[in-house]
Amino acid sequence: MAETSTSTAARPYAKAAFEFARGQQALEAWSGMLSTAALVAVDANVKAVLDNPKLSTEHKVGTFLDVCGEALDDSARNFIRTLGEQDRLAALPSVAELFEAQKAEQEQRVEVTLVSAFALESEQEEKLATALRKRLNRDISITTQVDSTLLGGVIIRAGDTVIDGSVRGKLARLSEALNS
Amino acid sequence: MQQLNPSEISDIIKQRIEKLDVASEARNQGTIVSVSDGIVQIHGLADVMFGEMIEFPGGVFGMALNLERDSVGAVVLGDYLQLEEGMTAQCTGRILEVPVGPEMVGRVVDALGNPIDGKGPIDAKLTDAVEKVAPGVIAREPVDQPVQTGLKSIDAMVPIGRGQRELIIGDRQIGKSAIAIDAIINQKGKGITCVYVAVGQKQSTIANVVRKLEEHGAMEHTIIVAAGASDPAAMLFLAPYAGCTMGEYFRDRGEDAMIVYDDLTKQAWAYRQISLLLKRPPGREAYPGDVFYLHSRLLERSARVNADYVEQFTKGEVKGKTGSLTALPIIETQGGDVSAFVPTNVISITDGQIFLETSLFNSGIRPSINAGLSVSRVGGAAQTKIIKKLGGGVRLALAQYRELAAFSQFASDLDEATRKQLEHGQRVTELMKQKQYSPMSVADMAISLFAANEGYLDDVDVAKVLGFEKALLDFMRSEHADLLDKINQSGGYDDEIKNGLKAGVEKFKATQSW
Repeated sequence: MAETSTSTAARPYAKAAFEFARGQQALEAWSGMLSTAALVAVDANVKAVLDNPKLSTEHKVGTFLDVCGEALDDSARNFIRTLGEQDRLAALPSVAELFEAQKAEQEQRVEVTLVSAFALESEQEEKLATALRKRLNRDISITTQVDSTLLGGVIIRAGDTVIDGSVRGKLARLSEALNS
Repeated sequence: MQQLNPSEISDIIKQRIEKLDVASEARNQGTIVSVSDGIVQIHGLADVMFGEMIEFPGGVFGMALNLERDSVGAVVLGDYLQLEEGMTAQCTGRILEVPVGPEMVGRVVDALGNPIDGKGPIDAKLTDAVEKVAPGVIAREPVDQPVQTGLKSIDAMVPIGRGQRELIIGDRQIGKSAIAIDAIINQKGKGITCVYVAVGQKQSTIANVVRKLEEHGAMEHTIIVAAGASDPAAMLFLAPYAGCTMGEYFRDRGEDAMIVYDDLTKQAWAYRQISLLLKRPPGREAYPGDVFYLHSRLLERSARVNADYVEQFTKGEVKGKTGSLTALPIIETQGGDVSAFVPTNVISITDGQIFLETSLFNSGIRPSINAGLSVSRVGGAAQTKIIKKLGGGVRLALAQYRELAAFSQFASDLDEATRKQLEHGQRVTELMKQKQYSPMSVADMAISLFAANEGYLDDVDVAKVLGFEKALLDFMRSEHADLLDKINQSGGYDDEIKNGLKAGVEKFKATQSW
């Protein structure tokens, strides 16, 4: 058993938030609020407050909510309060991440990263997107990156699945085959 | 080392390049989160299967053993020092396999089937999964053919049958491996392929075993799977399963094979180490909860399978032949304690045990088999007729002798019958001694046992019993070779053989000295 990681602690909160948001038909709003809260939570100044043992829980939650200001609605404020009472405000980034993952799952959508040696033309990108949509059987949102060390070809990352069609990867495989 | 000229090298490289499949395929990928003591925690790898091989950069492989919600725990099979946090790990979609087949015979390989004897690559045609499920009840056949170990004391008192699992148990340095090695040497020319799995032994010890087997011409029918003391724990844990898969190749094709696990205590230690590092909860003696299953699933694969199974397995190529895999697991006890966790487990799994004792070893009785505690639960049905007939008295004589010997220490004068029994017991004990690397044929054993049974030893000095035996065997081999051949071939016992033996021994006693 691995030690309790932050994602283990964050999982029930993310699930609760997601189910509440889905019930209220407010997935987009919650997604925005949670990402704001997550950004606030990783801020160095806020962190210093949260980690300060001299301050009481109410004080910490109050400060946190003040920093977030108008960005949060009432139910989100309650959510932050609950997290604060359980001393789990530090887990907010994980909560936001897991929330996004569940949202993507709900919307049958996958984040795909395309890494190519040269910038792709929109026509090529479109072709790849159609093929991937068919292959993964999901709606996809594509982020592109350029990495000239690939020498040629593309690497497609969709979650844990990786399709390595780069020249660098092929050369690495060749060198492994020759050295074994 | 083979001589290579430059054009050959470029040919080989060309071939390899041709064979290389560079088609890009979708693979499940993860990131190494931590590397510690041969255990790797990987984030991602959502589609990994239990026991699947995982590929790390640099051609290092691992095996997934812990599947958790956010991470995968894997053992590294090989050098883990070059792995770093942040490296990628890929699924391979395969479970661990080793090469199998007749090409492996005569070779020394590691737990993954790679040759380590410097004799070049092994051209094995097939590979097979390391972890397999044992044949079920329908596929089995009772054990009724003998495995001759060539050791008088074992073949007479604790006979082993083909497909049996007979444990060899005892403290360190009292000849456990010696028994197994003798049994392997004795299989020369008998159609039993042997697999010797060395787990956690010194490299020098393994080299010694290989040399001894080569000296006695036993490497021609033997595969050695070696995972030395300096190898990673994962290799020690895997070696017995790998060896078993190599032995099963012969079992499934209607042949006979024998496998020696030397020893399973070290495998349990290696598994304990892996389990503790994977943070599985420790139980008794810090072993994980499934240490019984570790050995039971391994030993259950040693079996005798029936002709139907063999026919089905080979798709009709081999008909009417049963196959067997006999196992001789070895367990090392600490201070003779057989009630420790692993010894009790393996005793309960196997079909009997050969119990070796330090006190016997030190008093010169070698092999130091304790006749009272050693049993064979199924071997009796498989014993050669003649040995069964003649050897039946040995166990009894030794049991009575032990009781009387303890009792007679307090009595100053004994009656005639008791004294005779004691003397007979002493001679039988002496007769059961046997030198290492000198296995005996069935006929040799039959002559020795016949002489003891019929009282021909009674007037031989105890110290001279072994000399008498040697002279008798030499005499019989030169004068009655045809009788010996007949016994070796038929293995039966009838009046004709009895009279032949009687005449031979009497003539020897009348004319020869010892």
